[in-house]
This record gives sequence, C-alpha cells and structure tokens, in this order.
Amino acid sequence: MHQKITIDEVFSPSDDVVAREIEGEIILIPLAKGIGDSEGELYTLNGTGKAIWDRLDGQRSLRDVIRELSAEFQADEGQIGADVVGLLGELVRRKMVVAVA
Amino acid sequence: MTTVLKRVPVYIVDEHNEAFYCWYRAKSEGYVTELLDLFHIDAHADMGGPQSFRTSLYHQGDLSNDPLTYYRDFAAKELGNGSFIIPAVLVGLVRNVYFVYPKWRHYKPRRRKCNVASVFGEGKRLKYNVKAAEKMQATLDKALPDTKNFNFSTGDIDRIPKKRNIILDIDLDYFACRDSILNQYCYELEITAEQFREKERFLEDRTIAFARLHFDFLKKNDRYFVRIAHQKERDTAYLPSKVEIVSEIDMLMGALKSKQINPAVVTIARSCISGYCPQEYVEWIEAELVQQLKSLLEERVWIVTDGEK
Repeated sequence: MHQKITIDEVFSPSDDVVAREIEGEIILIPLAKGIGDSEGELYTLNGTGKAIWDRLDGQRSLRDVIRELSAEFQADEGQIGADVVGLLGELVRRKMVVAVA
Repeated sequence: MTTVLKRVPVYIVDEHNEAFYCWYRAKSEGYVTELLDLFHIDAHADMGGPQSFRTSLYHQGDLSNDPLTYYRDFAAKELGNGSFIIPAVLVGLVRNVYFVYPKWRHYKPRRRKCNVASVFGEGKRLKYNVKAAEKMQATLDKALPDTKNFNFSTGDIDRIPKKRNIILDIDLDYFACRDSILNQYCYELEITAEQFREKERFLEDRTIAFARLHFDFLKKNDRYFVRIAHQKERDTAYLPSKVEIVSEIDMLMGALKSKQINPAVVTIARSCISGYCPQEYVEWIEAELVQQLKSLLEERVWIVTDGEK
C-alpha cells in the first residue's frame, strides 16, 4: 500500500542511505537490508531528482521545496508539485527518506 | 646452479581475525608476490558481514602511520573472528576463497560467484554481491569503484583443487570444536542478604526471559551469591579423541601433498580466547599440526608466534 504524501510534510534522507553527486547525477547506495527494492541495488537521480533531493534537509516542507523550485525553474507549481510528490512517494516506499515529525 | 627455496612463514595467532594482518605482512615482506587463492580450513566459513569500519580498509600513507602497524590495529579493532576474509579479498590480499569444512559438518559442497566493494571506494562501508543491470554498469563503476569479483567454493578436503600456490589458513576448531561460546560463560557475583531474599521477585521480571539469562542464587558460609549463565543453546560440539584428530591432521597434510598444493604462507588460528577450539585441545593440536607442517614444508618452515608479530 502506498503512503499518501502531503506537501506540508518535512523529509530528510535516511541514515541507511549514502548519496553522492558524481558527474551531475546523484547516486544513492542503500546500506541496510530493507532499504530499496531489493538487496544489492543502486539508484540514481536525474537533474530534477537531484534538485529535489538537495532540498530534503529535514527543515523545509515539500511546500517550501515546490515554491523554491518553481521560482528557480520558472515553472508551474502544479507541475513541479506533481514531480516532487511523485519522487517522494518512490523514496518513501523504498525507505530512502524519513518523515521528520 | 642451486635453487634457493623461499621460506614459508607459519603465523600462529590466538584469534582468526589476526590472520588478516599476517597475510598483509607476508605480502609486504615478499613471501607472497602474486594474488593467491585462500584455502580456509575451518569449522566455520568466516565470511560474515556486512561491515562498517571506523577507519578505512585502505591505508593512507603518511610518516606517522606505517602500514604494518595500521593493518595490525585494523585487524584487531575492526575485524571479527568470523568476518575477516571478505575485507581481505577487497584489499587485495586474497583472490578466490575455498572453504574446506570438516567432514563431521556434513555440509554440501557449493560454488558461487560473489563480489565485494566499498561505498564510493572509501573502504569504510562494504557492499556484498551487488547486482546491477547492464545499463547501470557505468553508475556501478562510479558508486563502487573498487569492486572485486571472486569465487567462493565450499567442500571437504577431498574436493580441493590440484596444483595451486595458495594461502593456507587453518583454524584449530576444524579438528575439535564447540560451536556455542555462550554456553561456556558463567559469572558469579556476591549479592546482599536483602537481594537474596528478594530473588523470587527479581526472577518475575519478564526482561530476564528476553535476555536469555539463567540465574542461580547461592548461599555459602553466610555470604550470598548469584551465578549468571546464558540459557543453554544448541551446540553441535565435535570433541573427538586424540587418535581421531591425529588421523585428521594426517589426512589434511596428505591431501595437500598429493594434490601438490604449495602454500606461500600459513596462518594457524588457535581460537582459544573465543573458545571455539576447547582449551584442553589447543596446545597439543597446535604442536601436532606444526610438526606435520614441518614435515610437509621441510626446511622452508619459519614459525612466527605472538612474540615475533
């Protein structure tokens, strides 16, 4: 079952994931069992994903992230919001980010 | 023209994780000049993981920190006695691993391809058996640049391959073994008379059940004690007679000789502190094994014990 993501939530990267930017893409390496879809997989984030990931600092809400990205890329908040919520849904399902209370 | 045969160092260590340092030392001193397969003769595979280290598996050279000291400390502080082989593969001390188990284990022989790497090549967090689609190969090369592929084969002594230069690694628990270390531990503490009187209430605490501990309350000469032991667990102990063990050592040496196995370095782990090899067996199994190794390797043997490490 998918967890519903709301844009007032705040997220930060899981301690069980190591992320590093190499040649313009973010590579995510799970460190523990149960993180990601299956053991021994790696994940990459494209430019849009990287822009979102960089802002998951445990302080900004998704609403803040959407607003910032919309201003930076001069794009419609609705479209950016769909991208942000879509990516967060995948990251939450894979336990690569955690919600900050 | 004469041929000078190279010495074969035989390092004898208390616990098996120290073998990692011995292999590094043998390499740095020129006894091992190529990447060799490991014959791991043991009652346990010792392929444990995953691992995270506080310091990197890769020594960063500087004058205050010589590599021999670095790896001796690394083996002692970062590696466990069941998790030292895979780091040795990653750091380039060992190529393929043959786990030779004793016949009494009744394991089935297996062979599989494995890999090990460290996250972003930092040598601190190890990843095992990462599988990636072909299209992800470029990403894999960036994320895990130090990936080492190796074969892990298991079998009894009859299945070892022929004509190999190897690292020979023997745990004395191959010959006599207690699997449960916890069964051996018992602590006796003095308690007050009041604590003694309250023992029934103490034992009602449900957390004791979770801790899997067993308590015996004792009164001796007007003093009170509690004896704490781990609840007994299943132990497939193998404690054969001396005759059987000598025969097993003969069989091992015979197989190495007949299959023309040439060890460049030998490590012997007593496993005496952990208790995997029972104390009463350690000394004489070691003596018998060393004697047989001298016979196998003749004048090339160079025994290195704790003091010389």
